[in-house]
Amino acid sequence: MFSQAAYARALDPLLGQAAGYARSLLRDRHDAEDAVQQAALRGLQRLESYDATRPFKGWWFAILRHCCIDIMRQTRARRSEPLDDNEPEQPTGEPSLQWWELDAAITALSPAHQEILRLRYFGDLSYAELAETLGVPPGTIMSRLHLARKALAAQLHEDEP
Amino acid sequence: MTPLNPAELSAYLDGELSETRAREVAAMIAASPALLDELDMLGSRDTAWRAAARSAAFRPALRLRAAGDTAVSGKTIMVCIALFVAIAAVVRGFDNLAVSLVLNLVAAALVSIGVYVLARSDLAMPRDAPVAT
Repeated sequence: MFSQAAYARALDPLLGQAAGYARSLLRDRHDAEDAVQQAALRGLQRLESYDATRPFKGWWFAILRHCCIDIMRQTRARRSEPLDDNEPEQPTGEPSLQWWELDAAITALSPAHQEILRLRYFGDLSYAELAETLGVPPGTIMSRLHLARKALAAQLHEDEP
Repeated sequence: MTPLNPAELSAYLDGELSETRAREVAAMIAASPALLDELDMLGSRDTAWRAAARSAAFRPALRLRAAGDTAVSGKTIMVCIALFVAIAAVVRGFDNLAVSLVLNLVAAALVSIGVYVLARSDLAMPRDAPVAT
């Protein structure tokens, strides 16, 4: 049985990426924080359902994903509003792809591609963790991710001036 | 050797192929400049996308306590009982009723404060750890 202390220890290193993933979905830092908080509590409540032989990150990100969807439903109107205004200043020097530009390109893709790309890049999930979170066979992840990446590359290339 | 599936090149880049298949794919790449160029391109894109996504990460402030929990651990309860017993033992030494009453009230206040402080520290998430990247 996974103890509460073990849960907190396993969760701690995931929080930054979880917040980034939630932020890419919800486009609001405070909503992202709320989603991570809700997922942390919900995971604690459902600890008994966690099978320790399966990837913890995949199990917990599935919970986080549902929390983000719940918040999106509550704040659906906010998706059309500009990003929150607490973005860091652009660093000087060579231009590089910013996270909101990557997110905008992902948003233009199909829902299935959006889902797997956000989990892969913002959540930094492995193939096994992606399979666990999305509830699909591991063999499906390789082909789905490949097609999603192709679509994203085409979308980013289209966005270039 | 099985022909290369285009998705396998990405999986090879991600380190997600089996050892055997990764060796086979590495051999195919070594024998084909076109495959090597494609791998380089995939790698550059992946690096840029990862770097961009990583910049969205931030450390959220969390409190990890489930609704309905008392948030009072066994340690907290033992400390409070020990505190109360110690103060009660001191109070019994006073014959003056007023002094005993005041000391009892002080004991109750100290126990309440102790429960509150210790309960807030139970299961709290660390707030200043660096963001995992």
